[in-house]
Amino acid sequence: MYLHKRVEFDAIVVGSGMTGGYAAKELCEKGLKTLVLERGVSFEHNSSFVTEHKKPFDLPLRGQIPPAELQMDYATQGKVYLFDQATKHLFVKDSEQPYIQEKPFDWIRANQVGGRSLMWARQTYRWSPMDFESNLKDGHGVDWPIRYKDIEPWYDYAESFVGISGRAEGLAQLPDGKFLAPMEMTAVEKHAKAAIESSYSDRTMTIGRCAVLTQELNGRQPCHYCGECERGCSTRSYFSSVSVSLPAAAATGNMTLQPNSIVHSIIYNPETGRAEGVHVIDALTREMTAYFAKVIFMCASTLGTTQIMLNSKSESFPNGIANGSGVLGHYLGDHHMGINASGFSDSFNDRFYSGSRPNGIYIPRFRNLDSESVRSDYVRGFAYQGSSWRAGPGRGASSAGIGADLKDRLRDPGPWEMQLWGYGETLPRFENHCRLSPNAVDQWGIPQLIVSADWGENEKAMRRDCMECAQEMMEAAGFRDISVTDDIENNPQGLAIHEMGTARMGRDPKTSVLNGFNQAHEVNNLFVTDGACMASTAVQNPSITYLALTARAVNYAVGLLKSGAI
Amino acid sequence: MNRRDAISRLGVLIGGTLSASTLSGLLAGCSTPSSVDYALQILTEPQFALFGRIANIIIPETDTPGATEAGVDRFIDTMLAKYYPLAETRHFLSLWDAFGMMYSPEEIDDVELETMILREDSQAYNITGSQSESAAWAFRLLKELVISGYYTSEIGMTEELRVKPFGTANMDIARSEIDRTWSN
Repeated sequence: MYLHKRVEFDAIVVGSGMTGGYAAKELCEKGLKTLVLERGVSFEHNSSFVTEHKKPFDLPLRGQIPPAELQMDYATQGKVYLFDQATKHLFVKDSEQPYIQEKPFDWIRANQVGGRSLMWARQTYRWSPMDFESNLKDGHGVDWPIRYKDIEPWYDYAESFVGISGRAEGLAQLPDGKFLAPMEMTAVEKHAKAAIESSYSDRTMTIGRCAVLTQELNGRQPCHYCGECERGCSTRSYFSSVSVSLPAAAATGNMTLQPNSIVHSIIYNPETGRAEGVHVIDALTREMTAYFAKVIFMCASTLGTTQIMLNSKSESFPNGIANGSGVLGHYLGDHHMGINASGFSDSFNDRFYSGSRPNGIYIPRFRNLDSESVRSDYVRGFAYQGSSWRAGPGRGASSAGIGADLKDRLRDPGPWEMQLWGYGETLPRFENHCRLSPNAVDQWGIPQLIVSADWGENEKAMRRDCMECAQEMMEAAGFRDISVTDDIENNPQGLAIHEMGTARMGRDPKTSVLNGFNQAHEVNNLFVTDGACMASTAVQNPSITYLALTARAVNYAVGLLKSGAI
Repeated sequence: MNRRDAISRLGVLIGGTLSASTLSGLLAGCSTPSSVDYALQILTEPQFALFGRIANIIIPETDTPGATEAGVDRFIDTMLAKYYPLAETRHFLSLWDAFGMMYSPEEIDDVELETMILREDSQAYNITGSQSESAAWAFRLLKELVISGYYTSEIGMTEELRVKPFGTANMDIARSEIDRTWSN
């Protein structure tokens, strides 16, 4: 059934997650009556945080999910490291929302207001000048239509709202930002940092830069270190759309937030050349409604946005709106991961920690930065995240020992362990793509997405070096029983949850979808500011870059609206 | 795992052969209501009682409560009923039933049972000729359930060990600043 109600807004934002919430906040604060459409359920600060601070004994099966349930309903979502009884309600059921993996791709999805901003890992690293120049320099992908200086003030702007804790290091490959006080390293991390930095003049270990407050900011409280951010934060200490951006948008009185609203397609008017609005299916009643606005922001996640755009077919755009280039859906890339190094230390048994730090350490990229660090076997680079801890009582199950002696032994913390996890840049390749299925549809009649992506030779060569460097750094730091593994088999594209690039920015409308302001080349009131817009992946966790691009694009779009240009 | 596999694994466990008719009772499942104030989910009363006794041998009462006071026996029943695939649970129980048939633990006192569990424990992590792989697996899984059940219980987390306080994170403190390690 189609009810053609003429409901008009100044702006429509599709998606309420990381970028959607922030786009809404920016648009609303600039005075635009804004409709925010979320395909998932309603989800509110505090009242929806139903598992916050629950202990294992308050959760079914002490938090564990039975393997049979994982297999039946969460074959893909269940691979996420934080998926358990306290978080499973935040993920879609793969069994209910199928997609087609032509090649293995883990599409991690969250259908509620706030989307994946609720469970993100909160790591926030600026891209550097070299990241915006790399495509032009080595010829992979198209040249970014912007440079670091274009986005730098918008990083400042977004960071001052988000709140990033971290330490300034003065590195060219990882620009400093507006940081709140850094979190602290453990004794083992301090030791590893000193050992690695003295052994390798090109390497730095710094405390993770993360979107978690270490001091009050705009009425939000500093972190209370419960260590379970992904369950929601009643003190608004980590940045999420639900706790920070959407409340700011709502406070303006300009936002209409509508959950259970699945955007089917974007309505294109060939006479005006504009995107007039969107067709929305009510997830519960399946009734279809059209909503109209002067400007549309697509923030439905990389693949979600692209699926909607591909499904927005018209005589003008038979292959999807704004897709005259034919690259919509292509150049999909995620960070490659699954290289893990671990080692143990007996040197700091008199040191320990208190509180749960929602953050780790970071070793920024050190390859292919300059003539000194250039590699002949691959381009671009990798970085490491990591952490250290002392083993808990569970270790009692892995060796002999019972009775009072066992209890007594487990009252002490176990040995220190430190791990490093490699993350690498992935080159943009045309063949890594998503497209609509010609016949399979979902329960709302929308064509299912086919995803097809794999790792290339550049990534594989980089992984070998990433493993060797991890090994040598763990050795330099004096760890014992070091093991370094490359689990590429269980880490297909998608699982880093940094997928990006399917509606890329570029200078040339023939080879890209968006211009340097995230505006569709061919539809000037249509903007895409989620990960779909990215022309390369760099190696940094991308959310803060999406936010900076979003604020910049909103500012530009509102300027065009005011001048009457769109 | 089908019934034939279960029986052949039992044979491996106890190092001998048993007639299928003797074993059929062991594999018949469970429905006996419990005398304790708790509705058993998958364990029989003898299984529940045996696992409770073993749990208290692995984690005994000291200056803090032991395993069953922390609900570890119920946790084992719950996990076997709701967490593990049924075939795995059945295999696990069949191996322990074979242990029960061989040693009749209900007829021996706690001291003797402890000696027996001590022996099983030392063998389960260093398998020698006298214990099969599957018997070692069954013992290790039970011990894992006891330890995970105890240290994720309210007693295990808050009385035996310490819950990290909220408020600050001090990532480099002296070990001596807290008396016992964190449970979370």
